[in-house]
Amino acid sequence: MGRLTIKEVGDLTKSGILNKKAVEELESKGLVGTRNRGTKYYLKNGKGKVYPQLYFKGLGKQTKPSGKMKDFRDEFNKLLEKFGIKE
Amino acid sequence: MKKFDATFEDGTDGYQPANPGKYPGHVSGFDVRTFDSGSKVFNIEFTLAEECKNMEVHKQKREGSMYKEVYNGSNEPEMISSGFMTGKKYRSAGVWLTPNLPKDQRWKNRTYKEFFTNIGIEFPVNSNGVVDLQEIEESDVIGMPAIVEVKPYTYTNKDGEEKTSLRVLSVFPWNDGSKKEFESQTSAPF
Repeated sequence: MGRLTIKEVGDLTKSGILNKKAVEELESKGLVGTRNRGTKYYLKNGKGKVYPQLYFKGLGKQTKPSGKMKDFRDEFNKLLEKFGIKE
Repeated sequence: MKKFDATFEDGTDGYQPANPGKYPGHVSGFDVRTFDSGSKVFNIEFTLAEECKNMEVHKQKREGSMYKEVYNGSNEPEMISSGFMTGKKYRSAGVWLTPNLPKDQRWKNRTYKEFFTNIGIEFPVNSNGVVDLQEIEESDVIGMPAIVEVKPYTYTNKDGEEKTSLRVLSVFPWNDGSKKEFESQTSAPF
């Protein structure tokens, strides 16, 4: 069924469409993403833009990322800043 | 020409095509088809709510069958008020309910359960803690509020042509929304 991103929930709250209680209920049902989507970075491959992605295979909705996984993502984000072009 | 009390500005008054996104809406239409197998497919229509006027969304433009996000000269997302989406009607993709599934195939009814639970339907739970799915009727859902995700949906029509239209592909609870009165489609026309 998909999920709402943290930004979308923030926008809907700012617009007065969702209140705190409604957001809490969405979160308790697992219908809100758990991380912010930052700036997009891309690399060029001669034909167009290529977007590097980090994906943890096996990390389902029922499991939470470990500390090491978060550190891994932070390092990945640093690599994006170093090699990628900000969109 | 005669003087007339009307103006038009190209930059701001042009046609704004519908924008994919997540919007508040209400169930305004209901359709169900039953197949020989006993399976049913539900098509639910949503009308986007007045509250769209309070929102801003990232502008998207249609290029063929694709929608692309629009950025301004400084590469910032171009935001637009979504007030123009108010009152637009979108149908959901078909939601299937299949009876008598063996235990290892009950997942096939997951979308049905999630779709209608997110609209606000509470299915009964039996003594074993298992949800008893029941057949939704028009009066159960008409007017119910929900946050709906309007997205491009590609399908093949009867002539074998590939078509793209905007459909409601996901729904989320809108607990702050209030139920709205709509005229039942199945009521007698007198």
